[in-house]
Amino acid sequence: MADALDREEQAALMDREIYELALQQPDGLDADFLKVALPNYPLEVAVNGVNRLLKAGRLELMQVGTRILYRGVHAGEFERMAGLTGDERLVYKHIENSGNEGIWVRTLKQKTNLLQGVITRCLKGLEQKALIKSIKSVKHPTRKLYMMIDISPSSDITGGPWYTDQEMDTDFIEQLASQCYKFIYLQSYPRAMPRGVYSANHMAYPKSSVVHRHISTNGISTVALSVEHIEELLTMLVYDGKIERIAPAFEVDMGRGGGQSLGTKPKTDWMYRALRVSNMDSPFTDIPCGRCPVYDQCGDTGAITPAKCDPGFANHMRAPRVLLALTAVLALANAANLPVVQPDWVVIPTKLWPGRPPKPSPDAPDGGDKEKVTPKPPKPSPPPAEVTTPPPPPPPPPPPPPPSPSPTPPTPPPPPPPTPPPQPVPSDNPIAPPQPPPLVPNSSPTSTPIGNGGNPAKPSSNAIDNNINSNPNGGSPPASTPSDAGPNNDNNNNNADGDTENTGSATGVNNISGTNSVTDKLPKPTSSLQSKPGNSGSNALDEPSSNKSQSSKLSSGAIGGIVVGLILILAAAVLAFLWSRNKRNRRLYNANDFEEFKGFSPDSHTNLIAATTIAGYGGNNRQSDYVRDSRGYPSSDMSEYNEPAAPPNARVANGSSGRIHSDISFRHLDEY
Amino acid sequence: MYTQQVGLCKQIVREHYGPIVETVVAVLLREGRLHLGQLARRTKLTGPNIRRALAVLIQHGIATHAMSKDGSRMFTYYSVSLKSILRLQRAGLYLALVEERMGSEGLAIFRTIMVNGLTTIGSVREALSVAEMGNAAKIKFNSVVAKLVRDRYIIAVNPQDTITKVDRIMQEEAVEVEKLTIPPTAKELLAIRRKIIEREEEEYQSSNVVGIKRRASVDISADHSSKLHMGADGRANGFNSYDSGDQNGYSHLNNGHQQQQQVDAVDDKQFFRAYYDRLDVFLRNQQIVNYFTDKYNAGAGALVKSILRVTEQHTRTCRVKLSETVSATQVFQHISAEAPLIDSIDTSKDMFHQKFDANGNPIVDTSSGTELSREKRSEIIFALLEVIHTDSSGIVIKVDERGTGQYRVNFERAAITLRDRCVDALVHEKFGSVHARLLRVLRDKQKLDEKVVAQATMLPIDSCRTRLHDLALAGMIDTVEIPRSADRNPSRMFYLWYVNADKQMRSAMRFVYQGMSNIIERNTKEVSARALLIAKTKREDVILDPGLLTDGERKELQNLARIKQRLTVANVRLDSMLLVIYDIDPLSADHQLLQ
Repeated sequence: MADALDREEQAALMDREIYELALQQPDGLDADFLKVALPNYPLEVAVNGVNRLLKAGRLELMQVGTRILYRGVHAGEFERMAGLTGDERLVYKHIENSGNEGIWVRTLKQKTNLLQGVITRCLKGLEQKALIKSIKSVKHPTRKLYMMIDISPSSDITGGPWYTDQEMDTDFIEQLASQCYKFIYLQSYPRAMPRGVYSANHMAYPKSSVVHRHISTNGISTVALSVEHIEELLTMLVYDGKIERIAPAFEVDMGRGGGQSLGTKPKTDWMYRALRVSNMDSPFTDIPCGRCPVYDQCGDTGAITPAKCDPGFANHMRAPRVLLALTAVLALANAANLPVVQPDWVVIPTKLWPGRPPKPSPDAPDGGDKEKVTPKPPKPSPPPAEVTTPPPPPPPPPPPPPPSPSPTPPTPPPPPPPTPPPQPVPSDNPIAPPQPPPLVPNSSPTSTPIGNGGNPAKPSSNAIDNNINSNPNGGSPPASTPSDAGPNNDNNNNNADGDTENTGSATGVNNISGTNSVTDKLPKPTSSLQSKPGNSGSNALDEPSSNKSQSSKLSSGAIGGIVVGLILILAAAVLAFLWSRNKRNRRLYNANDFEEFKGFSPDSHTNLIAATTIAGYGGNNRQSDYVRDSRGYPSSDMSEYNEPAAPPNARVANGSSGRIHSDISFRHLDEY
Repeated sequence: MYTQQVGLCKQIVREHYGPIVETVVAVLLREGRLHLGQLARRTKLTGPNIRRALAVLIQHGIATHAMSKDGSRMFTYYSVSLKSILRLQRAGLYLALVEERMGSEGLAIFRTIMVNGLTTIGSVREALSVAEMGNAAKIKFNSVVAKLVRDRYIIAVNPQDTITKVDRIMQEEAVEVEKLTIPPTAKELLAIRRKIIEREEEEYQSSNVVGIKRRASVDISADHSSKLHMGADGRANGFNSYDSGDQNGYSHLNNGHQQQQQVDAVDDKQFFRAYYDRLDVFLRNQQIVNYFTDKYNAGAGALVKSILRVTEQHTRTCRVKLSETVSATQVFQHISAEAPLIDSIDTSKDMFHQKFDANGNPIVDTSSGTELSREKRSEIIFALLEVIHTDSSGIVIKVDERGTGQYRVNFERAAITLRDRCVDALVHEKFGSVHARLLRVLRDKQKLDEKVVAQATMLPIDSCRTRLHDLALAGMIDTVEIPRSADRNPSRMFYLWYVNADKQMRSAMRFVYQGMSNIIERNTKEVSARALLIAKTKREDVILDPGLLTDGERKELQNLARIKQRLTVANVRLDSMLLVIYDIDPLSADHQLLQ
């Protein structure tokens, strides 16, 4: 027993010695090393100890070439690996060996010869134990790389300082490049001579190391940058044409190229000089063709020609004009009290769209009733609760409307309206207007004489006038009187005070369409009011709940009004656009209006041409008279073809006297 | 030939010569060389009109003719030169150049010749009514004409010059072949062709000036300074012809105590025409001067200008690739006195220019003001010459350290540098600075994969790819396929981006042609919109009494003049692109020689 204990103690002692030896040799040790290091033990005993340690996971087997080496596993590593399965350990080892470059799953599969499912399970387990992490490479954004959790990925993986969240940070690059350019520019030219240059032997131009020092010491970048990064920036600036490289006087090996093989050329430490980029404009800057998006389609015929060129149209003309047209239509709609503008109290009868049932209102006494689906005269809207403005004078009594021949309306045409009162009715008269006949505007031949009050020539103006008068109501439902329901209420301005349904929809339609759909403006018969007592009466409308009920009941009509209004606005906008475009085209050919269109005026595109422009070409520091006239001479008779030109071999003087301009003379030579 | 080029040529011809000539030119451009019958069928014009149109075109050097056999009949075929038509756009620049260098007298003579195309000096004399002038004016006229001929602003024209060059060479070849008793072998034919080309080249390189002759010596008064010295070819040497102020065309020989003079007399019966190839050299030189002025300063530009002025005597056309050698001393002597050399270069920190006092301390130059001493001036010039010849473009090269240094101008490098700069500016304007960066990277590093391009330009790969395709669609860059396998499967290929210089040049020219065409059309529209007003100004009563025009009409006329001027200047600037991109390239100048 004691021998057995001694043997165990000896074995444990030997194991400890072997383990410590292995820890001291990070590259591993082999059997020969053990034989030398442990001379007191026979090799068989040492091998048994190694086997025990391998089994316990304290040693690792490594194969370097043909040699078998043993590497000691540190305590921390041993603890981490303790709970791993064999597959997980294998995967973990490969991931660990990949270092800061990471390893792709497919590579892992090739190296471990494990199944994809096994590898996935292992990776999941390792990730749950917070041993590894997954990253994405900027080079291969679709690949998922795995590496140890405590290792930072290499710059090849992250992209270096130029990448933020796996994307190139172009703003950062541009800002940094701009700072570099400014720094180099300041040192590229003598400050005492604004237009001077340094001599050819000047060696104080900044180098990349100097620029790097400037960037790092001034805290321009919070990201740590190396000289190589700065050189990348400077190379970009060279290709931007902002700076140029100057070879140094001596090819100095700055230590960056010396670590390579002997045959390698040492890296040149360039100097950089900023270029004066004062004249970077192209001749195409003078004309709109330089940046014209339809330049390739431009020709002498067709829709896109230089004669029709209007580069300012898109920027200056189109948007304001469309906007103006829309504004005008909206103003018109506002003036006409279209439901688009005031949908709370402007309601278009649902019968305008016969197939569409009115939306049931919970507050309505017959809300949700199936009878509502059937074509019926819509419910009259409640009268306004309070009117602060006096009503307009009453219209003259209109003639009774003729019977409508249209078979479509489900309800008979309204009865002749009562005679309107001769004086304005007080606004607090709470009488709900009658429901108009459910006819589509403009469809009733009888409506025209009625609505116009015998004056079909002025349908819109009356309506607009009425609505203008109604605007001071501030959008509140205007009051109405029974006399407002007269057939010629257009002439009496009682639309502003009368029926809300009629006022909104019918007036709006009439105004836009320019026709007389007076059917909507017809006053509602009293019978209809009587048939719906719940919806009429000022007492009911004075209550907030009644108002709420009113607005909710009107919502279906309001929606219809909005749709009609939108359609009309759209049509008006299109018409306004076409009209303005037509007008523009006409103006384009009108020479007197040319001043208005700076966009395609040549003045707008030749502002860079100074008086000395030709100095850049002709060499003369002034603009010659002959350059202004590109041909250099006046129009010859050849362009008119009134007389033939001289034959090639004839003496031109015989026939050329008429083609010499009068200002070409040699008279001034007389002064010699 | 591009569609835009043809359209532009038609517009130019219409603007200069009218619609009938335009019709004839349009057909000749579209169909190539045609004879009179074919022209009549295609243009639907009458015979006299076509003949007159062709006469005008030949008179102005735009059309050429050649006899050729078609079946059993001989026909005269006509063809037009695109370059001659496009040069009409530069007429104003040419006149400005002549005015600057030859004065108003030279301008009047040159303008008369330009208006009339081929003409004799006698006709010019008649047109300018020289006979009615005084003796001094006559002498002046003769001297200016002689200078124009001697400096090759105008060139003598023979009847053979109106024959299409290709046909002329073919005729010469046929004559040579006929001399042989047996049909020539391929080798003999090649030798004949080479011989003809050499003869052409010899004629081109000849320094003899046709149409000028030296008369007997004449005694002159002694008030002329003997600055000018006769050169080997009988012409005034170098700079003296420019800055002496003595532009009377006399050459002096200081022969002991007796002063003699030889008069260069121009043959009155000889036909002359304007030599635009020579004038393009001056325009090219001005572009080179502009390059150095922009990059450094006006002093450097003045220095380069003086170098080019010294050498341009020997630079006939843009075919020349290298200039003559110029010494720094020559530059120093020829640079203009008004050249802004003050504060153009800082040599205070230059160890080679530093001066020390007796104690070894550096001497700081405290002189200031508008006047430079001769020593300081020479120091600045030599220092600027060093800066210019170390420029990265390699335009000015130093060939020898002898004396104060010998310099030459590499026109080939200059053409490439200016063209690249012009194309960069075009791309910068059309696409933006990032596209221009991409273009420069590809030009510098040749063929690259898009990933490498993105890395070099510091752009995201997708953005870089989009921009590369933009440039490729515009014809500025191209791709080359590198197959990975022998089957050249497209999916297994590398596609590398590179700058196809020829294609890039053609695309850029297409842009320029289109732009010029647009300007002309816009100009036409502006004029036609005011046609009634212009017609009114041409009425006799309005000409006699301009007060008949209302204030509004006058304002409109001023507006039209302003618009036309701006459009014209824009056109001239676009034409400068054309010059830089194509015309000044020695290779393209060689190509154009045969046209």
